[in-house]
Amino acid sequence: MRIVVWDLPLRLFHWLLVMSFAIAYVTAEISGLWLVWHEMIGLFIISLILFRVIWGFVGSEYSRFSHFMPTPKRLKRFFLTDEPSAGHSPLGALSVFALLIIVFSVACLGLFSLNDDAEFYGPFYDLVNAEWVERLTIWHSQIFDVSLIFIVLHVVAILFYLFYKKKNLIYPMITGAYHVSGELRRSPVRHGKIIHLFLAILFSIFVFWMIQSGFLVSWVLPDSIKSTQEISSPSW
Amino acid sequence: MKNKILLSLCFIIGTSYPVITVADMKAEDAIKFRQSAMMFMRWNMGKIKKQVVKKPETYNKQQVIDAANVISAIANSGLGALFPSNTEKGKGWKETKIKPDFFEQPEEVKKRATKFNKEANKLAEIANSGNVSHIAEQFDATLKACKGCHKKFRKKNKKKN
Repeated sequence: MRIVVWDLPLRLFHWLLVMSFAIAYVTAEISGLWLVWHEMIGLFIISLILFRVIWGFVGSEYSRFSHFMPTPKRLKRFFLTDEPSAGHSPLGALSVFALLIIVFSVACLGLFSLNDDAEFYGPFYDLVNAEWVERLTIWHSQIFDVSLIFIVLHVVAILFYLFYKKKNLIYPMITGAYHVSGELRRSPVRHGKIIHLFLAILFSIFVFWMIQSGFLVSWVLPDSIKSTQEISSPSW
Repeated sequence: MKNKILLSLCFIIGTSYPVITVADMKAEDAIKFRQSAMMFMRWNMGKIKKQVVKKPETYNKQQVIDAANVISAIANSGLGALFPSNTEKGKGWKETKIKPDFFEQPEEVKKRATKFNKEANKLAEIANSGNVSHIAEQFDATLKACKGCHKKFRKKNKKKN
């Protein structure tokens, strides 16, 4: 039986995240004015992951966290039995959560980071003092390194399934379709509601805009001293 | 008598000469001077970045010219004198981030520093044109020259590098 496990929003999320991550990496490497794009793409990643979190609560059946939350019981069953399953396996789910949390952390730390080679800083730079900026900037690059390790693990696991277990996990992430035996699925897959999708996207765009426009910062710190070059200069 | 005065004058100048050379600048001061120079350039780079790249609607020709002139003036001020060999470690406003390599590869340092000077001077020149996209292009080149030296000779963070 052929079922749609990964719905379109989830697949789009996945591949947009892959692309954004790559662009964020390249723009940071080239540096200079490309860092302007680095900031944009970082904000986009934050919005994407926020969308994914919402979709994890209201999305389609296989997208929901409750469906693949890697509880000890599920993990135990996964390792001890060889039951076929669709969607994230409990072990895969661990990796999903790890990746989401790590990539989200990297992006959020970037909001506070300073690259003084290019006098480039994130939109939340004004919210913390210089010492913390330095610390968070270091974390931004260190946790990025950690994220690379998890991405490699992610890819290795998929290759392991592809060549050793003869199970192609890439194809379903493109088409959404999975082949499952009849016993595994009796009821049709529950889809997400369009209105929920719409609201989730709207919320993500709203967050993007709040940060990008600087509205959030001026709301949190109304009387904040803006970065030094924001001060309107007296004639002397 | 005249000879004696001349002789003692020679003596005074001769012995005090090393004291007034830059190489004997107090290490702490040297580090402070160079850290201040970098910081002051940051302020001016930031102004250009804001007016030319981030918010072009705020572009103010004179302010950008002034900022670019400051940067090229600092670049041409002989910053190299602020890196005497006794400043490999030490504290100015804060701990220096310089790598030991800086003192072992003077040729490489010179190449990268000269590159920065060239780009900074060109930035000041192009700022006069008032052409925002040209300024942005040259601004980018200047940033890359900054990074060219930092990447090789500046420690990334407080950890050993």
